[in-house]
Amino acid sequence: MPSVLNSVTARIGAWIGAILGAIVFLSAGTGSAQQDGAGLEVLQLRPNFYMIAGAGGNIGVQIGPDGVVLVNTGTREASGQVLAAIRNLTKEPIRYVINTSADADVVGGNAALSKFPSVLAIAAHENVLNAMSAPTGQAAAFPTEAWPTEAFFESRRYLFFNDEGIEILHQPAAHSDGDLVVFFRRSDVVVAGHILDDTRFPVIDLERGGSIQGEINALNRLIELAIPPGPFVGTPRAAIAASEMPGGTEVLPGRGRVYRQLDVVEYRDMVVIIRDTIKYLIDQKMTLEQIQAAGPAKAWEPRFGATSGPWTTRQFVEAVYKSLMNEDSQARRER
Amino acid sequence: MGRFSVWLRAGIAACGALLMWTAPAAAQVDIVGVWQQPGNGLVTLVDVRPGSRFEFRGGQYEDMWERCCGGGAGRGGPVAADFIGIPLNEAGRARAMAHDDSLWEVPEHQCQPHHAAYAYWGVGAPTINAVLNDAGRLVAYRVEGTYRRMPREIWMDGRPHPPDYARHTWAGFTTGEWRGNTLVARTTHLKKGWVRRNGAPTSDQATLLTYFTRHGDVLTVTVFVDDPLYYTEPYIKSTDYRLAPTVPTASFDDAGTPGTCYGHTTVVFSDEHPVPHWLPGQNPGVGDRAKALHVPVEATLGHAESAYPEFIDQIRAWREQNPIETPPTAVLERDSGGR
Repeated sequence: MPSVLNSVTARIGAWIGAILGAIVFLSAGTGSAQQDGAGLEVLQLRPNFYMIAGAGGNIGVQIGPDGVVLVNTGTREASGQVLAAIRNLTKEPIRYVINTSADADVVGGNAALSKFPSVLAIAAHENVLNAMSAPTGQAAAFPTEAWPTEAFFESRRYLFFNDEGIEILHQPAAHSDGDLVVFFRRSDVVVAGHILDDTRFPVIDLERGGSIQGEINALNRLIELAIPPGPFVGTPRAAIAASEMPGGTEVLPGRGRVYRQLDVVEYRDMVVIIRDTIKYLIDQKMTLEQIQAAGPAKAWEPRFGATSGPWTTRQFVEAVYKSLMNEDSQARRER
Repeated sequence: MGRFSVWLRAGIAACGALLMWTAPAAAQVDIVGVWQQPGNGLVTLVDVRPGSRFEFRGGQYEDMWERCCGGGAGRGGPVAADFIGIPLNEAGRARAMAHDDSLWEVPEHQCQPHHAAYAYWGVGAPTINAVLNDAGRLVAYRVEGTYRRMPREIWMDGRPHPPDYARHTWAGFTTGEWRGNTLVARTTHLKKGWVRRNGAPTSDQATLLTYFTRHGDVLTVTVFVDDPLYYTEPYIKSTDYRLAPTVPTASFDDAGTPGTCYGHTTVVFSDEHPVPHWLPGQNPGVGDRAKALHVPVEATLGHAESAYPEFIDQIRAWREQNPIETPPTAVLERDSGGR
């Protein structure tokens, strides 16, 4: 009997040790990726400002005593998860929604949000409304409840909410004809929408009024809005204490990681160099096929290129080519 | 009961072994201090002709190629389009060849700090401090004091790296662990950068492994740059520092004008938003280095094999086919350009 007891207790002891060891091993290897339960990534950029990623396009969330301002709403499929993620951040009501373009991963959650009585307006450029709706009798790209309730045509709108000024700036003919850039002045955060895309070459939607020059203009506008991290005049030496310099505007691309000014500069530089290369090859009387074969975007293909999916490198090169040819035709007509 | 005790102790021992395996080991050597490159100061190089010798009059020995010979406009820096030993792939080479040194005059680029992959080359005396918590336990090593390099922490407390969507910085995010007597630091979340100032690129997907090994008063820093987007294999480079506790450290900002960075100048470009670059096939620096060293042009354009000793055989074979007609001219008479 004692031997049986010893045997049992010995096995129990071994199991306890093994389980303890496993717990220690697993806990040591676990990272905290700040993911919520639904697989979305929620990054706190400022005390009152968050980015929700993983729901299609990135979503900017400003929170304060006046309520919540959302810039973009992600895909329709992810709208429930997005709402849950916002509720994890705050119980304040959602007051305003701003759409930076009419893409499905930008406006997909509009319909769900429009059901909230607290939402005062879904704001967007009127060209976004035009793209989402349709003339009477024709099928619209999005259901009525997803449409912006406050469409405007001015180049600049602004509001003051949660103790900060918010500028809403129209960038004509960039990714599309309805792109907005939303600048939270006190938070020093810019939501760039699909003008800036960390996951691919910028989508220049010629059919919806996009152009390469407008895209470059928009990127330059972002660079001008943003400031890099310090040191700035008057920064105490001791303040430069962390591995990051103080300050610096946060720029949210349409997709992918958070950018700072120099990241936007690198992206702009890339687009300009590819544009100039394609223009040079056009001037050499090359056809589009010859230009594609020359690989004008070669230096950035591993980072931003794709051979399949909704926006390939070939589509990007073709869009730049056609946009340049359009500019050329227009210049000839004007002469 | 005795057997229970034995088994329990065995289990706890296994648990302890796992702890030792997974938790960072305690520091084996002390890397804290102020470190300086031997001979730090201005460089004057004189000649690279066959048979002659390099003549230093005070200067950084190991990084002379980074500040002696090119850059234009008296800035010093490496020779344009010299990518010998850098394992660039086709995309990396295309990116490198598009680089125009005028880029450094563009306002947004003027004050950018050096990238962590380049941090240990250049003037300045790195200062390594230990960051302790209230209990006196090591939390991080902090490296600063290198000119135009961001201070960087090497976190030793087992914290995880940030998520993919987090911002990338010049210093990146670094964690470290002791492997024997060597501190191994892993850096992620870097911005797009360079390993040479002539445009040899690193992408923002690059990962660094930095090995700190101390031999007496000498600290050897070896950096492995693993960049799956631009390199065909890791780029490896080392440098030695000597303990120099009396050397003043440099900082990112300008001591004369606190809060501003060095070198901030006003340059007028014809474009409102200039992006200096070379179009494909038009980089005028291509061939300069090959001519000076009497090697094939392709050897200077960044291929992994050009880093290996066996490559000398290819150079010899090429030289037999292409005998030198006139000695290459001296190209290295220029003072240090800093950075």
